[in-house]
Amino acid sequence: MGLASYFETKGDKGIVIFAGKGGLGKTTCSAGLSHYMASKRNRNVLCFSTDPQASLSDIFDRDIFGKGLVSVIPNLDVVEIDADRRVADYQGEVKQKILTMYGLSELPAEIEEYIDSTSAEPAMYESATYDAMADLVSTSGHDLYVFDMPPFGHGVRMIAMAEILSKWVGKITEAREKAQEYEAVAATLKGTKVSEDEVLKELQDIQAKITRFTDLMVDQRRTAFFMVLIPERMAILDTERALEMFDALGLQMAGLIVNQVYPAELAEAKGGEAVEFLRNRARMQRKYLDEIKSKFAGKVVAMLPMYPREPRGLDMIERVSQDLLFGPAL
Amino acid sequence: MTTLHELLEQRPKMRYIFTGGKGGVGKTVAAAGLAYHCASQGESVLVASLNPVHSLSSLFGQSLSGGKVIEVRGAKNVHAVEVETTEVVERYRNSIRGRVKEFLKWADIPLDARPFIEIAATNPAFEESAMFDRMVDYILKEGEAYDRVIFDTAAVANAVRLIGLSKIYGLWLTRMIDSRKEALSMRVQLSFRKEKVMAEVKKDPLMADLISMNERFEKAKGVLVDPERTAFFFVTLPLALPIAVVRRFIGMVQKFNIPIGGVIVNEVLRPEVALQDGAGEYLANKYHEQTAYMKVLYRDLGPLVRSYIPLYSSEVTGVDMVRRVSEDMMTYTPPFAAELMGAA
Amino acid sequence: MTDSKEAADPKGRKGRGARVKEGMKGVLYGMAAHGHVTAALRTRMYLEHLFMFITLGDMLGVPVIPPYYSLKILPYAVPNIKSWKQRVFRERDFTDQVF
Repeated sequence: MGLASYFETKGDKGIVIFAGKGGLGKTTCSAGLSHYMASKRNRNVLCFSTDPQASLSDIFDRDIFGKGLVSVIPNLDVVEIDADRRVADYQGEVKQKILTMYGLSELPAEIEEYIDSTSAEPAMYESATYDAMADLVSTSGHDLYVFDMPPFGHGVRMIAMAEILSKWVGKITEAREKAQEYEAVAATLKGTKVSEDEVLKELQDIQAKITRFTDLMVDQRRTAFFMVLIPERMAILDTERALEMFDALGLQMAGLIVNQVYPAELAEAKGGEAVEFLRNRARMQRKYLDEIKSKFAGKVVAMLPMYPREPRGLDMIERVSQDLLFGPAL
Repeated sequence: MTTLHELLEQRPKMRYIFTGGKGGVGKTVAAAGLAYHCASQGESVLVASLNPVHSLSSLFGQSLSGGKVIEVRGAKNVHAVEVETTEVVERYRNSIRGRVKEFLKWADIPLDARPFIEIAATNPAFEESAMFDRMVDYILKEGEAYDRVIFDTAAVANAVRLIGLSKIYGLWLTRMIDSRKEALSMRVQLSFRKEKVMAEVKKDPLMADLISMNERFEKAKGVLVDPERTAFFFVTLPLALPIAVVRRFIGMVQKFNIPIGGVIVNEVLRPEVALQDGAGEYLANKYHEQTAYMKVLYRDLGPLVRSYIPLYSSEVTGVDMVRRVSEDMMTYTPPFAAELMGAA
Repeated sequence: MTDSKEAADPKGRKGRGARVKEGMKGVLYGMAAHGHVTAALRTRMYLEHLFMFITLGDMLGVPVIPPYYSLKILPYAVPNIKSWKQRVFRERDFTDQVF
């Protein structure tokens, strides 16, 4: 099995997203798939991480964090967003805009304080990451985007926001179309018209960006979600929970990838303490692999073995990509 | 160089202990092991999971969910709680829901309130504020009944904000209070009865709640920065990323003046297992990698390393395994420690 | 958009009542200044409130939309913050419910 046969039957996608809890291997999978598509299928790939913990830098063994697009092999660009810096830059832009718009040399205290205080909001970082993703996907011109899953709650918020923004924009546009009454009213507004055009434009821009991206994410022909897990109890429970959430959002999981699997022969191996150690682990995994097979029948599309070394560096990534695309599954 | 065991012995008043680190490193295992050890010394212990994804039940092999303190079966003096925030978050959500609806009605806005409410209700700040609030509760109230309270925290970003002690906690709540005060002042000014403002604000049960929250928060802060009473332990694996996370994390914690207890290294592959004849390529390579990472760890954080938990051949599930973890945490020092640390 | 009682009547020629009326026009659609409220005017009024609510809600403790987005339109709200708050905070029943 392996991902290759998935892509053969379902066709190539524009976006592939690997979901799953921390430390289970979604970044490894992102790296593996990206490497393969770039080197063996000649696609122009952008590999992106929304994880604030620089795991792509770790895997590719290069400092990528906050450095924009870094080309690690021909056709493969990698990005790690520095969300903190993006938020800070963004706040600076807003402040500057106010100063410029009103010809001020400094901001009213209340406003400056408020803008600064938004750094403490978790939603700011989610939004900044999402925004960065939306930008990359719509402007960078790659054939394939591979990334790990952004936070769930944000997805829900995005869809709801797209709805509000489009209604709001609709109402403003409708109001302005009633030209006559509008002109009469505009006369009392002393200068509103200019600002309103600009506000309308901002709203339209925000709305367009969000909608473009959410439309893409929910389109199964263009986007595939894979969930990565390991054969352990908690991971299985988490996967069940995640699948429910996906369902609720109207999204579909393309398949599951089981990572860090000990070779089956190990469960029966004979030998001293060292081997007993591995045998026990392999046996424990067998139990959970069976559970995965029954709970998620037919959904497992690929399996990755437990590697003798941590998967870091291009050589290991290439090995991962072979196993991911062409390895056995359950 | 103080070991974890010595540290606990030297500081009987160190009541509030936190375990933190990257996702998947074993914070809960370390918290449980610590709890078991202290309890075995005759202390009464509470282990509280602040991680929204609770794993205490799975770890102890029994149901500990429901948000109530439960005595762990098979572990005398160990009490556990998977801290629930649902009720508090629901309170926040209802309050916002109500306010949004009222505004749309008053301003005659003919838009469906539902998407607004959907957005407002999924604000991640609610969950974090609620968890922080519950933590403060355990520190100021429930915690007093125990000799030790061990908190298993969530993944890094949340934990940092959780212990940030001044920023996100109650930020939106504070703004709400300030708005209310401002609104009331405007009205009161009109009727010249300024002294009635605070009285009016407090009449709203949510506002009274919020104001007392801020007061409690200040009290808790005093406890959390006291090195006699609090310590933060970082859990890591002998791998690059978790170590890097610990380094960054330590910096942030220091910034907030939270006392650092030290570093606990989890899933240490024992040389006796890895270097045996016939152990094979897998274990030999893993051991080799581990040595390299341990060198880095000792080089950067050597004096802080206090405890080691070996990599076991089976999952850490059930009280027996937790007992084993607690013993190893206090007594196990890998044979390579002296040599590698000396060289660092 | 700016308050401009003075701009409406720079030489103070009108009587006090008339000046107040002019002033009301400048302070966001004071309904009393107009004989009746047209549908278009009503739309403009609620759009104004919607805009201010979405932009300032977070600042005032009612987190409406994520701050990342409301910050983008905040600059346009700046001159109206004070007068809008006054308008809204002064309404007794309403502030008891929302603020």
